[in-house]
Amino acid sequence: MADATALTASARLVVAPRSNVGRAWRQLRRNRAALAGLVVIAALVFAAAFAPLLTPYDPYAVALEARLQPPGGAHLLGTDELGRDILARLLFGARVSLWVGLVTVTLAATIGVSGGLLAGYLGGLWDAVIMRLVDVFLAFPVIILAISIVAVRGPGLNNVLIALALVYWTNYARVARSVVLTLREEEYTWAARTLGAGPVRIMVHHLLPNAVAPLVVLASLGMGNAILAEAALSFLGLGIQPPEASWGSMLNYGMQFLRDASFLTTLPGLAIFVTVLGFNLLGDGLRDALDPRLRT
Amino acid sequence: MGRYVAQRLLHTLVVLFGVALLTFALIHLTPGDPVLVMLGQDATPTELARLRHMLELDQPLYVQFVNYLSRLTTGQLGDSIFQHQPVTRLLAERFPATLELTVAAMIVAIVVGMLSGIISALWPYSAFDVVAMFVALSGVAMPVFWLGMLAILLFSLQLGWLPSFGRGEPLTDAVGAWVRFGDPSDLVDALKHLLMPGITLGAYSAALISRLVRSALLDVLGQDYVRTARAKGLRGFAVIARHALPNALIPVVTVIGLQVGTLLGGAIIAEMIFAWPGIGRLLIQAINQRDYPLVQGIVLLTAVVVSGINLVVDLLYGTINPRVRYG
Repeated sequence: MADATALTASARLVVAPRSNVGRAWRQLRRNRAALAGLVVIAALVFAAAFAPLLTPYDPYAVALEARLQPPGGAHLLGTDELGRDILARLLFGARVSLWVGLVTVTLAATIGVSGGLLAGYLGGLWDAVIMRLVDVFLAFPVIILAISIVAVRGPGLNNVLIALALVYWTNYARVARSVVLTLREEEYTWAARTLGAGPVRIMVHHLLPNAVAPLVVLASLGMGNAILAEAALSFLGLGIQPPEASWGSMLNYGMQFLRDASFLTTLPGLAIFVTVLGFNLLGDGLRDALDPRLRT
Repeated sequence: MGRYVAQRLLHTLVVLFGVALLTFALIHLTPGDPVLVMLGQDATPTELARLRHMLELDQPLYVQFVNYLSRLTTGQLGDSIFQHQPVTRLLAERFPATLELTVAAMIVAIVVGMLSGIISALWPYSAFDVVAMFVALSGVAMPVFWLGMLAILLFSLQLGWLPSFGRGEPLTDAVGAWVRFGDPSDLVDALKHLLMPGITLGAYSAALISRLVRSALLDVLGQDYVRTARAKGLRGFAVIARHALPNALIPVVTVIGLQVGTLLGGAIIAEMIFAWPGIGRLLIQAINQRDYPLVQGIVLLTAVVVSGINLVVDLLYGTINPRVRYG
């Protein structure tokens, strides 16, 4: 009997998400905006992965005699103030942006989901401490907290990743906690508990899978936010350091040439805009497909 | 309601304590010796020891924190290392400019966001709605600094309509001059300087508010009580203004409150683009000089402002939401 209960419980967990994924995909496919977002992201991943094959130019090769060339000609999108090929730098910048988005979201989700699960499932003092910590982090404007962490740690990719993870974990904690709170007293949680499952097992095997849908939505929107924040930090000179190609720092250096060579700022800005738009469109679409309750 | 107010006040106090703790911890996140980082490799051991003593970094950690807290309660934020002035004085000088910019952006966000959201909800899928929602979607993905540069490119460099950087007279002074002496030239100049940074900064929040108002209002318009109000013969405008909007706006108030933090953060970036003399530029300058007391002071100030606004929004929420009011 006990075995049967466990079997049904685990069957539900194994079977249910799979059919949900199918349903969500069918719904997503009908959403043209979300598909557009998906196409943008796919193109970006392609550009980042095959960057060296897509351009004959080295993004770091300085050629002062060919500086500030407008788009068209030998350099399709022109050259920057040091004569470096802008298309090459945009392509390699895509790598930085995607990497920042991916690592930030992974780190933030890991911290946040762990905190949210603990707060929601254990309750009491755990809940009070973790959620007050969330409130404290939320009291700081996102970009200011990120700036100050990078300021003391020093600029550079790794510190940007740490700063952004510390800024964005709160969203995941809140979502994970709220899912756990609604499911903590469900029958199947009790069943698992009766069968002798410990808190960790219940949290990871029985509660977490139910939080996957909202977390996927959050992660997609989070990718866009992280990419935007990295660009802002790099624009302020606190993020990715030269000569590394980052869209934000390209804008930073291009700004001095706004009057005479506006393509130095319009092109990287456009790249950031389209990328963030892509992740937002996909995120909105995923929200509609996976979790209609979250719709705003 | 009294219990609710007491709860929110206590909550804010706890958050402020945490905010102080986190700002305090900031300086200790430095890899290596913070004093060495601030003064650089060329500093003599005496200079290092003096700054270490001045910042109390030679004291045990808990003593440092207790002292920090007790100074905070009397409104002291220490001295800027490179400007040799109290941090509070620097903040008092620069914060009004940031506040002016943030308030201007907030007005843009609320007016544009609410209006377009309401129109979109009243005529969903109309041409206006489609265009407005496309613009709103773009606005949320648009980096503030890029929008600012595009605006400078168009309105300053191409058309020459607006100044590309700097601030005019403080808006309050300019209004005063206009009222007292009947001379509007300062006011016009101040507004010309404020217009582009204000709209640039407010665009993101306007987009967010517009999307939220639209969906909240559409939700409410489908409710039974709205149909009932229509059925009893109320005119369209009365239904919207008396029945639908107040309920739709409850979630919007919370989001508007949350935008204060976003706008204060965005102001840092907008100030860098438009050379606006507020605390954002001060922060970046302090970071480049590794002036940690000043960095701490600015970060603390923004967090206290955000916490204060959150408290106000929560209390406001209590008065406009019957479920809290009578709960």
